[in-house]
Amino acid sequence: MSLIGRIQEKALGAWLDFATRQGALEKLLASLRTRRGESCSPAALAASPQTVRVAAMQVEFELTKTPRAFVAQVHRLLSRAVEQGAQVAVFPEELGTELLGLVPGIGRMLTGGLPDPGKGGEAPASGPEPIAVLRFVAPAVRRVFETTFSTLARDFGIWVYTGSVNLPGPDGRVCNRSFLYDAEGRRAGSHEKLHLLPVEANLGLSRGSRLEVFDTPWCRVAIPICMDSTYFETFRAASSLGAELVLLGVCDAQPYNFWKAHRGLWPRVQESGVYGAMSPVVGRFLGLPATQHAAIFAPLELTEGRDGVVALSPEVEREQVVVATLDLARLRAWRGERGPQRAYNLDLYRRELPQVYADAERRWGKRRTVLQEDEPQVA
Amino acid sequence: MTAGTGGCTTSRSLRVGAVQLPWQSDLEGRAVDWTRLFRPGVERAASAGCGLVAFPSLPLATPLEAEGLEALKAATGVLAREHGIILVPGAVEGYAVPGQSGRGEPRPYFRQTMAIAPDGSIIGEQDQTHVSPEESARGQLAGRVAKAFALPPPAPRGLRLGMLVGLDAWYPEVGRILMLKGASLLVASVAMPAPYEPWRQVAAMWQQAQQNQVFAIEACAVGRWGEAEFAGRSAILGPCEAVATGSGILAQAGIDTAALPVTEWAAGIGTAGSSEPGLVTAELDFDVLQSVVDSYSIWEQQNPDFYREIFPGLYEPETDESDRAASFGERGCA
Repeated sequence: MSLIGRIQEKALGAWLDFATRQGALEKLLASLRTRRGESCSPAALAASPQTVRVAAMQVEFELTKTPRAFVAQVHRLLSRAVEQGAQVAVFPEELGTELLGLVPGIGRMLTGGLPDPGKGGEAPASGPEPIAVLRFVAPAVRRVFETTFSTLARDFGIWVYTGSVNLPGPDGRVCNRSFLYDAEGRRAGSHEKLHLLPVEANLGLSRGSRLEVFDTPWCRVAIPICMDSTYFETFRAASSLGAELVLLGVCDAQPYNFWKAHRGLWPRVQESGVYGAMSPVVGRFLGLPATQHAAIFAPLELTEGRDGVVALSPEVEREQVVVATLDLARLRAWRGERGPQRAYNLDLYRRELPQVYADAERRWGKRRTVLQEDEPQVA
Repeated sequence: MTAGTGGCTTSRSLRVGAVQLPWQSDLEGRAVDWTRLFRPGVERAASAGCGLVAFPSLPLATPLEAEGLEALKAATGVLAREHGIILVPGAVEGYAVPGQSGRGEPRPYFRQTMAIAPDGSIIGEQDQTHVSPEESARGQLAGRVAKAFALPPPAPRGLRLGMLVGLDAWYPEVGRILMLKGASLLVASVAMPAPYEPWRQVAAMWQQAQQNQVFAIEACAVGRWGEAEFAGRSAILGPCEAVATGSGILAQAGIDTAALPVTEWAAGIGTAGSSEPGLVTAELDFDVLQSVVDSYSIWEQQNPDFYREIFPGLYEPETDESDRAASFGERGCA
């Protein structure tokens, strides 16, 4: 790097440190008129231990040039959730990417430079390495993201799934991460996205290799991210670990299609027998259209229309907050009588899993061929 | 009704049919005239240009003895040979062993399906692998393997078939195992209790086609059997990206999928009319399927490290669920 480059880097780092300094953030958050809800109070929990009221946010993506804009957005959405009695709030995938806007002039670079995440395109040929940018801004992004959610979860008295943010961990790997905060503002859980989009892999993000579930006052929850819900394996693991509610942040950067929108969480809820709440980014995401409904799903038999939908936002492009109450006693009774575990075939699973993945990898490598023209029949 | 992923038949495409068959109260296993039962559907499919036709689950008063199964295979073999077609003659129940059961014990049986080659030979047989407690109480056993079978012409060279029976269609493990064994076409023979619930059907083979990026045929039984009534809409399915409307539905009984914009079709799914007997057909283009996979591969983005950690332990029953560790994975304590 040239001398000028090093000076510019130091100057930018100093600017980000100043713009996101902890004292100023705390002062900003303290200045908000935050009214703590009662939905997670001991009395409320004792009154309705078998139900949980969940809010799924539909968030219009915006690169935020100041911490104030990000804080205001999260505060506004949580206010709406708490006003409707929510006990758990769910934010979308890539919410933390809004904070890249703290870097002066980055907006034009990001909106013009990212490949289509659905197409598996290559990273931009010129300009700074995206992963290096994420590492560079990480201290500032982490400070704003964590301080905002921790403080507002505590001040509103609500559990919060933060949605996701791309941050390096202690081992240096940059992962797409989600966090869970309890109603006292303490971190109650975290997750590293297990299944990456091709564009994420090409940008240098690392995937996670672990799934945890977390105890809340109501039930165990899992907090996977977007593409994790394309794979039944994620939800089987969560369900078998006792999760009864799966919170999911998504970022579908493509024009809306009813059927494509029903891939992911909806079928995973049906086959796993859990409740699911999904929060999408909508609007323009780094130059691409982002569409999806905020939604709360349940097994078919537990929904009025027997369509698996408990609540759904009315449109897919603007900010929405969808709230619904989930009856855990009813879910548990249904799982006991009709849940998928009743017909598990352990002999089949022991025989085939995980060996069948390894066999396929030997056969195909990275490229799956749909016609096995050169291979003997598989026994 | 016909539909397709693209143009005319090529060496890498296959026209397929799904028969929506009414159950008949007179299907007494030993007395069934299999030829009379299957001939109309096979003839219609063959005249529509199908190289493969699938039937739904079939009701029998009692499971078939070995000779009954042989009669079924012989009759369907003749029909397949006559029409040069690959035939999946639905699913029937067959006793697991000859002779009577012990006192008070239901005699064990499998519900099984098969694929018959155009030369009348058996391509492969598949038992239902997921059995409900109610089915189990009646004596039904679960199959222990899920196989993918290489298909002969007129199927494209290298096409493998996976077959699912009944409840298997709602278990994602089955579709995943079959896809990983090379199957790009799944055929499910099902019978769903009436009234028709469209979303229950979407939760079955439609989602298996999506999450495995395969084509799928869902053949549904309809009509009344004793006190029970069944309803469904036989369908031919594929990944959303392989279908012009983006619905993932190439053809479905009672629905003109090509004529409806996707949003209207979606709105209409809950109000479609009653199930009726019939045949739906579609052209499956495996070049289109390959391009879908190459454009965005679910296989490529899988996480084998994670799967190695979770399988098969996650299914093992726990005596006390609260004792189970709260994580699966390399740094977890599972």
